[in-house]
Amino acid sequence: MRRMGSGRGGRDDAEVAGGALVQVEGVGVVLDGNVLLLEATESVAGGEVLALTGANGAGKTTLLRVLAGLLEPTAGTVRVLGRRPDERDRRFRSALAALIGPPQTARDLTVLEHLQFIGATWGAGAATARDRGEALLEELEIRALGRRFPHELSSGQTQLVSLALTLARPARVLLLDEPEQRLDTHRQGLVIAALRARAAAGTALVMATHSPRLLEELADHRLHLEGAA
Amino acid sequence: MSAELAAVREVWAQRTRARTRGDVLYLVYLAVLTALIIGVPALLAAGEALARPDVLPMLLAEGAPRVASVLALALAAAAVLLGAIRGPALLSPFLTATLAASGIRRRVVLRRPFARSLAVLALASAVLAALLGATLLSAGGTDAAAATTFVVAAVGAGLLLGAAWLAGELLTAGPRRLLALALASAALLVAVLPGAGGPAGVYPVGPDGAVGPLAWALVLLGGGILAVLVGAALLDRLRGRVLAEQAARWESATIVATSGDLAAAVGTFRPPPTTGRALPAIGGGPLVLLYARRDAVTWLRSPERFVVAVLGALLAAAVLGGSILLEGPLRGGAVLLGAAALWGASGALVDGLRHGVHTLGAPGLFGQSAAVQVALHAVAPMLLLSALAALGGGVLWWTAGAGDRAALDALLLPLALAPVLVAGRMRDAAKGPMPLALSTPMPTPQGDLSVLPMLAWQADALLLAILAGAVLAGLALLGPAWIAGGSAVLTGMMTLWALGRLRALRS
Repeated sequence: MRRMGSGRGGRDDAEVAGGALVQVEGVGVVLDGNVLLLEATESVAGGEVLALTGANGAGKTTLLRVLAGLLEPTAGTVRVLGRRPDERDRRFRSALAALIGPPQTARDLTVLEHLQFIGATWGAGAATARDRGEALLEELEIRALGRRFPHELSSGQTQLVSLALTLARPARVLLLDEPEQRLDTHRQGLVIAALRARAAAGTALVMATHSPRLLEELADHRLHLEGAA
Repeated sequence: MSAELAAVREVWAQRTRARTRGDVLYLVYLAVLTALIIGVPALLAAGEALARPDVLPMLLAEGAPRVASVLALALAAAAVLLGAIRGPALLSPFLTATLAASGIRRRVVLRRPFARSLAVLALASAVLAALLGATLLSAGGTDAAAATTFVVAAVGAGLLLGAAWLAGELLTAGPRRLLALALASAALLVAVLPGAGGPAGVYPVGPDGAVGPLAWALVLLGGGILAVLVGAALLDRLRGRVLAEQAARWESATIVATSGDLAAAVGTFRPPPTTGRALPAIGGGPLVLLYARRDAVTWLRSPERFVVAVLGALLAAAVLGGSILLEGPLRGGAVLLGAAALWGASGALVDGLRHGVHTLGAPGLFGQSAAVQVALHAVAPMLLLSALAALGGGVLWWTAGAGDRAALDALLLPLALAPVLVAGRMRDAAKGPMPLALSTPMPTPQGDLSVLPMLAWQADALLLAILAGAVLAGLALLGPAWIAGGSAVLTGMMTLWALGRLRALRS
C-alpha cells in the first residue's frame, strides 16, 4: 500500500491533526484467514475529500464499511468525530451518511416521498422536507423521477436516486462507494458538483472510486490500497 | 392438437426426466385405487364423526343454504383478484418463453395447465360437498339423491370458480376490480336479503323452491362447463407480459418455499404498487403521525391487496367472535381458522414495519433506529386491525342477535387478538436465519424427523398466532377482564421477543 499525493492541492498537516473528522490508524481486516484490508492509515478533515483507489478486492469497500461501523477492524484504530464507529451509537448515526451498496428503499413510496420522509425523520417539517427533496432532484436533474416508485427506475436512475437519498439526510461525514457507477459523463459532472458543494459546506467526504475524472475534479487527496498478494 | 405442438410434445417427452406412458398409467392406477380404498371410506368416516349434536344444528340451520351461496360468491371475488397474481393458465418460465411466445396458439399451449387448475378446483369443491352430504346422510338429515345433486352442483360451482380465476388473469386492473366488486356486492346482497331461493336450492336440506334442486344443479354444472369453454377459447387473449411475470413469480416462490423459507416465498406474492402515487403519504406533525400516515396512505397503493386484507380481517373477526356462540370441535375450529385468517390479513398492513427491520445493518438513512422505526410503523396497523376486529366481531354479534355477555365476548376476542398479532408481526419481521442445529438429522424407525422442527421454525409465527387465539378464547370463558389481561401479557411478550430478535440481528 502506498499513500499518494492529492488531486487538488495539498493539505495543512496541522489542520488535519487538529480538526480531523475521520482518523484511520493502521486499520486492517482479516476474516477467517482472508485478508480483506491491509494496513491503512489516513485522516480527513471537514471540507476535505479523500479518494480511496485500488484494484478490485483491494479493500476500498471494506474500509468504508469499517468507517460506517458496519464491520469491526481486526487491527488498528478508527475514529469518526473522535468516536469509535458503532452504528448503535445515536450520535454517530446522526453524523455519518453512507452509500455502500443499494439503500433499503420502501416499495410503496415514490422517490420524492422517500426524500421527504427521510427529511421528516430528521426533524424537518413536511413542507421544508418536500422543498429540500425537490431541490435535490433538481440538483441531480432527476425531477421527472420524483413520482416514480423504486421498481420503476433504470440502473443509472437508481444510482442517482440512491445518491439523492444519501444526500437527503444531514451528515458531517459522507461515505460513498463508487458514486460514478452506471452514470454517463453529464451525470458524473452533476454528482461531482453536488459532492463538491457538500464538501464546501464542511462535510468530510470519503469515496471509493475508479474514475480518473472524480479523482481529478473532486479529490483533495488519495489513499491507494493494495490487496494482499 | 396442432402439428407444431405435437412436435414440441414429442421432443419434451424425450427429455431425460420425462415420465413414460407406463409411469403415467401407473399414476392414474394409483390415484384411482387411493381414492376408492382410502378416500371414500375416509370421507364417510369423517361424515359420521362430524354428525354430532353440536355440528348438525349449524348444517341444518335455516340460513345454511344462504351462507353456502355467500361463501361461493365471496370465493369467486377472491379468485378474480388471485388471477392477477397467479392465474390458472400458467406454464413454467422456460415454457412461457418458448411455447407461449412462439407462433403456436396460446389456447393450444395453455389448455393443459388450465385443465389441471380446473380439475383441482372442481375436485376440492366436490370433496367438500361430499363431506357435508355424508355428514347429513349419516344423521338422516338428507337422502342420497339430494346429497348427489349437491355434489354435482359443487362440481359446477368449482368450474365457475375456475372461470372467475381465469377472468382475473385475462382482465386488466380496472375491469378486474369491477368484476371482483360486483361479485363481492352480490355476496353481500345474498347475505342481507331474505330468502334462500335460486342456486341455494341445491343445498341438500331446506325448503324446496319453485325449481327443483336437480334443475339448479344442472344449471350450475351447465353454466360451469359453458364458462370453461368460453374461457378456453379466450386463452389466446392472455398477455405475454402477464404470463411471463406470473411464471417468474410462481417459480421463484416455489423455489424459495421448497428451500424452506416460507416467509420469503410469501414475499414474492407481494406485487409492487402501481397506483395512488399522487396520494400525499408524507405530512407534518409528530413522528407517530408521520409514520402512521405514511403507512396508511401506502396501503391504498396496493388496493386489491388492501381490500382483501380488510375483508379477510372482517371475516376472520366474525369467525373468531362467532366461536363464542359455538360448542365442541366447531368452536375450536372457528378459533383456529379465525386466528389464522386474522394473522394472514395483518400481513398486508405491515410493509412499513418490514421496511424498518430491513434498514438494520445498512448505513442509516432515517433519523430513528430500526427498533424505533418498527415501533412507529406498528401504530397504524395496530389501530386498523383493532378497528376491523371490533367491527367484524360486532357485526357477527348483531347478526346472530346474541345476549349481552356473549356480545361483549364476541367483540372482545378478536379485538384482544389484534395487538398480539401486530406485535407478532414485529417479531416475525425480525426473524433471522434458521439455526443450523434445527437441521441436525433425527433418525428414527419412521425416517428422519428433522423436517418437523424445521417446519415448526418456518411456521412459528402462524402457530404462535393460533396459539394466542386459543389462549384468549380459553380466557374468554373466565370473563372480559381475563381477555384484556391476556391480550396485554401476550402483546408484551411478543414485543419483548421482537426486541430481542432485533438486538440479535444488530449484533
